[in-house]
Amino acid sequence: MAYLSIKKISLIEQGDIFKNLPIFPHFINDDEKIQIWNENISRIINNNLPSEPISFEIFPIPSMGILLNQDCDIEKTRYLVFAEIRKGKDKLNLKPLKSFKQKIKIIRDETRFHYLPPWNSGENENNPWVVDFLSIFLVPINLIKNNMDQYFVARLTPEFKIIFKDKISRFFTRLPFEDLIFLNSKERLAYKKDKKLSDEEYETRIKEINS
Amino acid sequence: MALTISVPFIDYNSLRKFSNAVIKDINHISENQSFSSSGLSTFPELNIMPNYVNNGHLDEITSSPQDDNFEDIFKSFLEYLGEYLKQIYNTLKNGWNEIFPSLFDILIKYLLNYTIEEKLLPVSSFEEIFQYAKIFGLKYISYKTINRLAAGIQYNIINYNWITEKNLEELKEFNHEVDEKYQNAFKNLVNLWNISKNEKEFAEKMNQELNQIIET
Repeated sequence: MAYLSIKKISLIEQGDIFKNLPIFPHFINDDEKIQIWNENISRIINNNLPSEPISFEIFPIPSMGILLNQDCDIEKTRYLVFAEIRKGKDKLNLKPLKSFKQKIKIIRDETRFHYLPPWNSGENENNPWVVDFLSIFLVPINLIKNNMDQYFVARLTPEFKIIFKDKISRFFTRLPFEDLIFLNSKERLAYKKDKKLSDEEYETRIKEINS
Repeated sequence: MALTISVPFIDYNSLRKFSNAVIKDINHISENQSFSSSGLSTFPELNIMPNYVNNGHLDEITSSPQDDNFEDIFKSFLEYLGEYLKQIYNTLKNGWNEIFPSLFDILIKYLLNYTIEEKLLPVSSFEEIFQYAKIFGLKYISYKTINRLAAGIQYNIINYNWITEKNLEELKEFNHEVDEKYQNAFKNLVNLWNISKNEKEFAEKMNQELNQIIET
């Protein structure tokens, strides 16, 4: 079992899964808002008082998330840090012989994603829930603390929690490097073929190594 | 909203007296016009009723008066009848114009509720119902309906692409007079439509990456 069989919690823990969390995907992402922000900041930098306060219209989107904060930090913080959980659109292979390998691959080898088994009985296991560590968002702690029942979904069992902690650690401590630097010229060409790199992409990467 | 129809006074003695003449006249019309092809059952075609008072069909009837006042009373009756039908038509037309946006709003609300409950959107696109609504005389959309659609996108009840860009363009200037509430609601709809579109594109990229991982 990946989850504890509890419906309610009194304290929030790392790895807890919540639903209906407000995510602001385009809070200050569009050109108009960026321009307003830049103009106002440049005024301040140049010692000019802004003529009016900056305000933005925001549209929160309800999302599902898994808590990344360490247990000891939760009580101290104003904002909780979540990684977004999304439903994988592309389904896992229906054959168990292939699907178990796919699951293990996401759990063991992938740094960006983490596989979560379904928490509702009867849910299609081949349409997996996936934690996306590239989509991280903040939620005020009071929002959840004051309405825990409304947001709480599931809590990982201790074993699954350890694995999840490892995945967090791996994502934030990973060191990006160029695979090609370890390979000889023949291996590089084999790598290009295996990874289906275009000529342009391959040449760019080789140029970067040589520079 | 309550519908009120003011009924003009009808002299029932006159009505009885000339009923045969009227029937004869109606028969005359039916002989010369195809009701089915002219679509008399639809509202616009009812416009013939007021005009009918002064048209040439009266000639045949008035050629055989029963008494001196026949023509005056008959004309008077037809004026009453015409006025009466005109009022019914206007009331229904105006009433329909006012009621239909509310019905359309209820339809959208029902669709969204149904989708929440059944996890299935029963209509494949907004275009489908929008087209029918226009055929049935939708000439005005309430800002509440626009807000509902925007909220539907925001809460992931409907996909952004359920409403096409063409629909958005049409909705922008659909109302004859666009008030501030409608403008704000429409602005929110467009913002959420764009946010949702970008989100779906992001999710699609994520899925492609995930698919690559599990397939290799």
